[in-house]
Amino acid sequence: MKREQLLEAVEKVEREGLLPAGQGAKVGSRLAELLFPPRDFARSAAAVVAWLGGILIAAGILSFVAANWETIGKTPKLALIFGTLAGLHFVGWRFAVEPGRHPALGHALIAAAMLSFGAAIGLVAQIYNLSSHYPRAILAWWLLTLPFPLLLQSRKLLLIPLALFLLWVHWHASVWIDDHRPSRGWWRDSELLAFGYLELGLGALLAAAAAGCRHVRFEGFAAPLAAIARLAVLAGLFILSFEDVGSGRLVNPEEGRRFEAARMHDLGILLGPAGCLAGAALLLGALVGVRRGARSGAAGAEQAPRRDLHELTDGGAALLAAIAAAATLLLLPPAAFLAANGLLLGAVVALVMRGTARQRPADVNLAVVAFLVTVMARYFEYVAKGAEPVLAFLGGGVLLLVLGAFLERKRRTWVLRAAGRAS
Amino acid sequence: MKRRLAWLAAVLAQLALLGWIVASQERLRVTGRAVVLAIEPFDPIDPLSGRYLRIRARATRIDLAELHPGWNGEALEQHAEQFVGQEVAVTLRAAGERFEPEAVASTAYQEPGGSIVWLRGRVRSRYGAVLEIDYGLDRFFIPSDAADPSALLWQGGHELDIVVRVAVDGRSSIEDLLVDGKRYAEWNAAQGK
Repeated sequence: MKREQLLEAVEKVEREGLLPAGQGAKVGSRLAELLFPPRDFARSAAAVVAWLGGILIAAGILSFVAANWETIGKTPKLALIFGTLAGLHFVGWRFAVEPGRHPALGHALIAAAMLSFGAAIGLVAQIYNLSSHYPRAILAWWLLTLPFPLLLQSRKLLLIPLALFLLWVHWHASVWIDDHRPSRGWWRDSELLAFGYLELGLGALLAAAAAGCRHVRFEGFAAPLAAIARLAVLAGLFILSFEDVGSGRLVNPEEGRRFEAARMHDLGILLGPAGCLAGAALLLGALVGVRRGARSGAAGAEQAPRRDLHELTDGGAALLAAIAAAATLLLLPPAAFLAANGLLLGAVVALVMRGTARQRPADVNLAVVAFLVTVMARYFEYVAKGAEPVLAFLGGGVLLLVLGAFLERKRRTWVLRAAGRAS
Repeated sequence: MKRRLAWLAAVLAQLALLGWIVASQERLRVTGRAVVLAIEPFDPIDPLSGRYLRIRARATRIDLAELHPGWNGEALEQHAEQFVGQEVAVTLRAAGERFEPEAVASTAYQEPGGSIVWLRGRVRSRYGAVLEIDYGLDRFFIPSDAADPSALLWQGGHELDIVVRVAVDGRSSIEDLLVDGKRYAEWNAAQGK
């Protein structure tokens, strides 16, 4: 809702006699003051500058590590990196919390410290020539930087461990799949399928985490987690929607070999990483559900929070999509990509409907982008394949123009409705 | 006060992890036995994690046919297959100044005693009866402006080895790179003259 809408609504309430005559303007202006405080652009600019400074410091420390100067001995290098890490944390704490006179600067320094921790791990690995098959350094990095955004309840700082977590999940899964990949030769492209399912599991886990953040002190983390969850689910369905993804024999086994032990084993490997994430999502979702149940029981059924159920519903939908896609791959392999296309279309429709019903324009815009990208992918997959490049590009251009014209009208209506302004 | 303690604990956890790695590596360097392993040609660098030489010690590729000369091909492949994905103990024997693999066994049943020099590794894959073993000995970091000795291997007549510290429990860590018997820093310093 915008300031003008609020003032119009208050005027309407006054006209209906629910407010004493002449009070509408005062009430409206006070409400607008409370709900839409003036933005402090100078403070925002200061925060951006401070963050840039923090990022540059972290980049400098990473470059220092990468340079591996021979003239500096092992002990001074270790002292320097330990000292810098502890120093950045200490100064960041002083600026951000105690006494906390410069919170933007403090947060930027803490971000630099969080990034420097990765550099410190890299430096120790460099000094002792250490390497790891699985990305344990990234695991340690995100796990041990996670407490800082939690303690400060900072959404910006959360982005650092969140990005590292996403990197770790994909990297770890890639190594795991590579290690367990059978050497029978009919696997190869199926790695992409594995990542399609992985994204669905990841989406479910992040949605459950977002639900867990509701109505506790981490309420601010729910929105970014839920947004990334939605992106992950759409990305997963998008990957699975390609007919070419996966090798022929795994997706389309010979007659009578659908439930062969070797295929079951390979499907197990394919779905393993996604299964782990889905299991974690179920566990987290159950914990959140139990906590909600206990809370609503104590508060009375009519006071049960409904808003926080959105993310649980998202997580449940992601899990159901993953199960449906996996079941089709198992039982009706040639239709697996059709099922994924259907699920993707369903997700787009659901996002538009929910976006308009709950007044969330971002959902509508995300759905529109997902729809456009999918249509273009299908065009290049089926229509443009094998055609002359000139015709393929011309056809793609015409398709985009037609879609653009259609969406220009529909998207505007949906977004206006989502913003609560359409009749 | 509570938040300050939590903050302190989070910072200490980071420092403790780094300290633990440093301490365990220093302990390994002080107490571990130094062994020299021959290495094969390697790729040059990865600028993202600093400059390093990608190393493959010859002991990372063990042909079971050489360890069991009397076995037939099928028996060797079956024997190799049981190791894939497993943690193994590779016993080393001295061959001149270097060490080379003598036997491979799974650590699931029994680990070699403290008097034997052995490496702990994990079999990542096999090609026929050849095992690919990961010991974590695949990176040697060098300064950004240092000389790269990898080209020497293509010229022939040169030898590259790594000095590895090996603990009694099989854990290992690269201590140095030897270029024609010289320590890397010494060899690198001589390149500038």
